[in-house]
Amino acid sequence: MPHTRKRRSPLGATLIALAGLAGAAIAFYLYITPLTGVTGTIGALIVLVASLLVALGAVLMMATGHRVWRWLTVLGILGTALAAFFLHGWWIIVAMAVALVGVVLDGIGPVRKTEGAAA
Amino acid sequence: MMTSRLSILALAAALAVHAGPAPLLAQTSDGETETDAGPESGQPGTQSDPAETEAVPEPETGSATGADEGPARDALTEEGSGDGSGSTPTESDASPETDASDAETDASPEAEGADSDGAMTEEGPARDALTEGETSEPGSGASGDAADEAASEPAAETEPSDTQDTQADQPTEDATGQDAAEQSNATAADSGTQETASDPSGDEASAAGTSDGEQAAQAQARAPVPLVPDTPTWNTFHGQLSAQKYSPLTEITPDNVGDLEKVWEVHTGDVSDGSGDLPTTVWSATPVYANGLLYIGTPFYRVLALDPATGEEVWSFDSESRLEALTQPALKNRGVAYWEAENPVEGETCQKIVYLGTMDARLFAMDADTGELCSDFGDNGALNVNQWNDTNNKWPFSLLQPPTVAGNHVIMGWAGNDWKFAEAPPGSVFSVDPQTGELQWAVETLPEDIRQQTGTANVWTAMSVDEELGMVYLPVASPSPNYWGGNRTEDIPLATSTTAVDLETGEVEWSRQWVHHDIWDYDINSAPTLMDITVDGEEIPALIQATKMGFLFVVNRETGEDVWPIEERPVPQGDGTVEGEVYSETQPFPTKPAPLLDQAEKADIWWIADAIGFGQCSRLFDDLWYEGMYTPPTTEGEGVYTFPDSSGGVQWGGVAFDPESQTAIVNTSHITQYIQLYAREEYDEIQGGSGNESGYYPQIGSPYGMSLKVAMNWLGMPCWKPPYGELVSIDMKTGDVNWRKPLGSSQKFGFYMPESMGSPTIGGPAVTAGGLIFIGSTMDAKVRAFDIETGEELWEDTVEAPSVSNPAVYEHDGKQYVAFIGGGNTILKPQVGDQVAVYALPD
Repeated sequence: MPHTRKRRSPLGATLIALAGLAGAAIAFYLYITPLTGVTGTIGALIVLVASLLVALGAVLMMATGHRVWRWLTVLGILGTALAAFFLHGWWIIVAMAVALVGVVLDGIGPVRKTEGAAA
Repeated sequence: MMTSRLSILALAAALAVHAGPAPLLAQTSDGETETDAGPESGQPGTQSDPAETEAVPEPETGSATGADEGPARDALTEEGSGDGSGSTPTESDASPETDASDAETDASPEAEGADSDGAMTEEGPARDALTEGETSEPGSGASGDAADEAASEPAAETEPSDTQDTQADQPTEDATGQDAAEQSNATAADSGTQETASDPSGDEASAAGTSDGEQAAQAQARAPVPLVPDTPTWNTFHGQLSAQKYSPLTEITPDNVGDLEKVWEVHTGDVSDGSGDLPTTVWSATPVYANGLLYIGTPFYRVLALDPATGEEVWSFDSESRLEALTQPALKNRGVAYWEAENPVEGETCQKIVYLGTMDARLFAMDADTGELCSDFGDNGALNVNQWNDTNNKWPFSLLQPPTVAGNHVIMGWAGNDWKFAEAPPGSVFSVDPQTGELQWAVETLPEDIRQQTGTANVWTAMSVDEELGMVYLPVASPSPNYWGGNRTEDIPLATSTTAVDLETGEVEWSRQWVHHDIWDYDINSAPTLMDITVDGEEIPALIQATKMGFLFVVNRETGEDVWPIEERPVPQGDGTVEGEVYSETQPFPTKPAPLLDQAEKADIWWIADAIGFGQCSRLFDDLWYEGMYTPPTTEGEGVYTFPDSSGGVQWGGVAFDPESQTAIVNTSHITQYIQLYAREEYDEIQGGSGNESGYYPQIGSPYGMSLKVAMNWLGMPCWKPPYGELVSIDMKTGDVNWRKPLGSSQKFGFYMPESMGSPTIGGPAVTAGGLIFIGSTMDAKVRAFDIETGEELWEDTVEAPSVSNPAVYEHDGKQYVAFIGGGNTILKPQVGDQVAVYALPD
């Protein structure tokens, strides 16, 4: 019997993924650029990885539609933003804010149904 | 929450590595007498052509490269790669990009490891060189032999003194300080001007050395430098001989300091994070502006002469000194000193001289115009200061602090390793002729009859000078060993003191002892700041002595008498567990200014650390003995609580002073540590590693080894409540605090803690007539400007590593510049740098 899933518009998740990638790029810049204050630090690497995980979460949201990924992604966004705050990585915080907008869009966007193959 | 905890951990771990000052008092030494005046491997080199700097013969363990991405830099960016201890010659391009290393591993070599490493005890090539040199040095004679014998004796064989009944001999100063002065004069004969140091000809040095007459005549011919120079001056470690760190320049003001921008930076290449063959570097230099150039010493013992406006290299000099941690856990340098003849003769060399000291006890003198060695100085330009190391010669006299140059005197103390030995070289300060290196006079801080049984009480930091009064002010450290005094129960009035000596003769004029029978390593660690102040309508020639204890002592610098009462108060006595110890019944307490931190009782516990440690901090504090300031070390429980101990208080940056407003500015740290003594057998079983000012230390020759630890929970979070560091303004007309604010951010793993928590600080401020305070000093590797009136932060920038010295403020071609060194110090955190960063207003 065909399996039906509810999926939302990919707009929100796409925005989250892009914001996560942007955050990772900024963290990478902070990590490699001299005199950023966090050059070569583990903290910058943690935020870089966390930002990438946010992007991955967004992809999994799109791919599976499971709510668990959305909540995990939200937690990842908040944690990354907090870590960025202590790194004084202000642009990363902006990126995470954009990611949160993506979460909101994902939550309120239109739902479409897709059919999956029978198990 | 996770991140928050991580951030808290960041602070905790950062503070975990924080320990204290006395970087001059760590590691071990084999104590060989070095008498070879030349470098170990060939002649030191001067590179007058910047383009040739990459061709500098590399130091013995280094690698030569001037490229931006040299090995040293690689090491910084590749944590733990182990390849980066490179010694890279000068890289003087205006702004090469260098990765700031925030290496997360403690780069400090461990003291215990060093105790057993080849640098100290093995017959390595370096040691051979020293030994060979010794035999060839003229005039070292018998003392050198004795030194050899002392060095070869197992120090542990020495029995501690059992003397018990000398408490009555403890100095008891009254509030006027008169007793101290009398006491000092009374002891000057045997502990003031030294009698044992011998000059190269073998003559005994005395208050009036062989060339005193000449020198005195020359000095008298020179106009004394006024306390506040008539023109902007930054030609010494602390800017001026008064150590005011004050610039009369007014171009940069609170209104425009926000526009300040970096106009050039230089990376010297002389940096190591300790992951490779070289020890980590600790660079606390303050640039010296003189002769139209900016002179800088490096922790690889090189000198750079730079164009003050562009940073372009004019010349460089490489001492090719051994890059080994002989007496310290790191390669350390605090810069260079400068002298010029009263009337320089045109066309003659060495009328202006730059001096560089090395860890292996050599003082180099080079022409300030060319960098060529001054052949008349010492042995072809290098003076072997270790020729005077003739008692308990267990390490070379490390010359990490640049000499203090006043008139025709080059005055220097030395650094050693009093963490390790009970018997050590006795503290001595030497004045030599600026052009020949001939010994003029020497001051011995230990009474002659006990020099063999103890040691140190040395001067390892900067001194200050009042040329008009003809006095040099010595900040004297504690005797050895640091935390047990059973071998030195006799009166040692010059130890842990501020001692004023005659500039021309070295005779002790007065002395004030700030800690009697010091068993806490409360070295006086900064030059007293000289100032003329008006108190109750009376103009007073004063000095303020900052201390590790957080006390600020203010006395008349002519007489040593109190400005505000300094009271002798009863202090806690021992618990009876420490063999041979005789405690001082009283200690001096200043009544004004108020202590920079409240040591009366244990600091409040930081509830977050306590909660995360499941009450560990509370239990630790409960197990630590404390009955107030100067509670002595014990073998019992977890030991004795100290707030602060060797980490300060105030470090070698000292106090800055604005003579216009009579305002003193000082940065301070709030660090809780604890000390425990261990009976020798127990210590031998449990001894562990140590870093810079923290860990286990043997105190060989005493019945006790010891440990010094920072009070933290199991996660490394500090147990005590912030702030961890502050910037304080004091009205010197009243002694009252104008304002005090947390300074900087603590940082670990890159995460910054809120600025309201402050940061431990090393380094110090500079103040300007423009109404500004410039200071680095914090863990976050930022340099800042504050409004001197309000304490408001007005500007900040990030440098490569914490700026752990005073900035330099100078004027060149009519433009005001502010220079910071981003060098780092492992006491603060394991982040090192090689950056000179210079700021100015845009054109």
